[in-house]
Amino acid sequence: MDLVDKYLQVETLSVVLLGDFNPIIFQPTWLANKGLIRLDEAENANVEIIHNEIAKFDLGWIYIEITKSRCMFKTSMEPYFKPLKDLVSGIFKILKETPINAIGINHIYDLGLQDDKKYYKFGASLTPLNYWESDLTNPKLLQLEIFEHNQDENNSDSRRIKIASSDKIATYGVIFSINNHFTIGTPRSRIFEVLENLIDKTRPESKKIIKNIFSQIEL
Amino acid sequence: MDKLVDDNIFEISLIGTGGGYGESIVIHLGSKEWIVIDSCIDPKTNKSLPLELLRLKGVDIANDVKLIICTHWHDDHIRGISDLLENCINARFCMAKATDTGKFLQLVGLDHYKAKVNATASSTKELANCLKIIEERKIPIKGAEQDKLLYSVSNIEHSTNVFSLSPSDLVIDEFNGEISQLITDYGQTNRKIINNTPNEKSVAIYIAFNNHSVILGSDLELSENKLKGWKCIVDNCSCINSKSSLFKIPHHGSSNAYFKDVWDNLLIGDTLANITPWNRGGKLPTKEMLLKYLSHTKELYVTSPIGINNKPKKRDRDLQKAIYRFNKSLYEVKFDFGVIQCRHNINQKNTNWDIELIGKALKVLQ
Amino acid sequence: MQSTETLDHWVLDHEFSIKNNHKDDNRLIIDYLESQIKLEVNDPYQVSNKTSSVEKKNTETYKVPKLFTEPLPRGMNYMTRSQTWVGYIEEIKNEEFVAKLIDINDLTTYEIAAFDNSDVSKGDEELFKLGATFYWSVTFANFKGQRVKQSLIRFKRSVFIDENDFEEIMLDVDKLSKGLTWD
Repeated sequence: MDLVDKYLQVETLSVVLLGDFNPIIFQPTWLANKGLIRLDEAENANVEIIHNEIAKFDLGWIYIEITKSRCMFKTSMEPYFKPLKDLVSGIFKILKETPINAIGINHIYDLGLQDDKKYYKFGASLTPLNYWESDLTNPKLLQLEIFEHNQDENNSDSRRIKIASSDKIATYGVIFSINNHFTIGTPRSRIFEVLENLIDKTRPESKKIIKNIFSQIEL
Repeated sequence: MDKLVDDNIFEISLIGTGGGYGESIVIHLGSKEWIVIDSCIDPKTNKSLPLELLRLKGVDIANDVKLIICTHWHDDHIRGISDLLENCINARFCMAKATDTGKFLQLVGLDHYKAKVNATASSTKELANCLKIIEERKIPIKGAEQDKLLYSVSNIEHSTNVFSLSPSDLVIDEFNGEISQLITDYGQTNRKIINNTPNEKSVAIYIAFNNHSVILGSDLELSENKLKGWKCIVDNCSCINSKSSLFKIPHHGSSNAYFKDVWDNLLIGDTLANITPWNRGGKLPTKEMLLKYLSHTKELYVTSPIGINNKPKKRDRDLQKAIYRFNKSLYEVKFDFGVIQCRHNINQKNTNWDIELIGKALKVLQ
Repeated sequence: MQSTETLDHWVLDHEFSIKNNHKDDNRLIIDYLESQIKLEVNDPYQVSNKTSSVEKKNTETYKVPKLFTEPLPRGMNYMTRSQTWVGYIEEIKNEEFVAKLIDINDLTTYEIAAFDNSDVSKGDEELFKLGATFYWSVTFANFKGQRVKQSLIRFKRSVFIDENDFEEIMLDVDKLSKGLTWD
């Protein structure tokens, strides 16, 4: 069991697309009619709203939220990471004229550090708290954000890593949220290169980043 | 494994992987001229094993490999062959003749596209890549069919001729119908092509050098129809002019590929016989078949042990327990590398072969 | 430009996430539901007891409509510590099918297993054919706090070919066919 698995409680994958969308199309029955999900999933979908401006529904294994400028597909069920990828890819192969400007692949790791010693040591190791001790009483780290920009002649991609404390799932919880942002210009085929290949590529990369942090902190 | 030095040595190396990752035969015909039949890979590195063997032997791969024979079109039998072809710049490419090339290419094209868009895994990726390479090189494909001379080495001291014994004309004709059916069944779906039909199209090879010969049976099976398979070869092949002293037993030694007439009419007594086992599902060769082969020859070799206990891959203990609870049938198809290397002096009259066993290869004892 | 981050995920404390990108959407929804709703928002300065406690009383209270309620994380369903394979059906028998399985974490050697035909979900039966691709996972699931080990099979659904794709493939095939000869 590696270092990340030792503390991992929940892993979430979300794919966010920015562009020009028509939320009212994105109905569970439409997805089923196109063979992208099972008919029974469409029939049993938990629909919050389907409207010209916004669509939100839950199929049990994936949560989908579409507005006119933003699409999000999210799941916290590991066995469904590949079906999520297939679904997003399938939708935009059918809607081939839909303008897409950017794709974000987000890997979110909810970790439980088990006790207060590890929890505070983690925060104190990530950023030196001694700078604050002359002015604050017992300062603690709440959130950290690291940004990386990858620019070449065709694309302006970036990676944003947020580390924050959270007790929503586990006590002494820490969240790693890794956003991989890809711009889509021309050719449009980049959309499928990102969806088909980069989800599989960014996942182990993201886990490796967290593993490297943990291996240096020695909890 | 030592490097080959002598131009007068005829050498055959049968490479086995335990059945899951293909098999291949690397042959020195004499005078530094090499041919390769099929390809297989090490699944950990994805490298073509015949290519690695040629490198180990210090062969000038770009120039001295003259022919690559592809005995099947399905990826499972030819993994790494496109890598091999790419490196063997001066090699001709040989495969079973398809009379309707366009239709065959349609099947390959559709299948290849599926893999490209991640709809499913391709079953013809290797062949698709080979055909692209051939098209770029602008060289004709050597079409294998019964009694066809595929390659010849001729000099003052010896001549070595390579013939294809199959497929027969009838099988070639029927292949067109089979391709049509495959296009209908798989072409525009996102399903991987599964080809469980009998291996009648398999290319069996006969090599004659001076007064000796070998038969390499590929996966060719026995058919009820005398115009197909081994019956057709025994009855009709005119290129076979002497009994062979080495036989690569076809189709992992299965009973479907056993034909007594081959042993009685085409092979000498105590012929050197080699098998690549199949360690998936129903294991091959079975004990009964091994005994049958041993009744024909004492010189029986396999590239790796048969019928090994198969377990799933090792995983984290909790997961292993959970997996076992839900599915006890899961097992790993292990990579079992073995080479049976056989050498014969081309000018030597006797039929004694020098054998070297590498990796997991072993001799089968009564 | 808008962010492609997951902004409203329950794991992120709302106090620290960037909400501004949703303000247009929020405005539209509020307009749409204006006559029917009461809005209530939590005090933004109340934080968990692990940090310093600072309280600020709001002068107004709004009741957030159901649309904005985040599901309670501890009541969420999730699956973790999974083993997943991509499977290809190689044989279908009367009561079981046999598949070749590729571990998604280890693409080297492959595995083989037999499955009961009854493991196939009813909605996937149309896809249950020779050569079909599926995902098999063994996982540790959490359903609203109840832990359960699960094995599940889901068939791959992908769109791969339309008329334009088909034409493109046939053009390539034609070109290749013209370039290949036999002897």
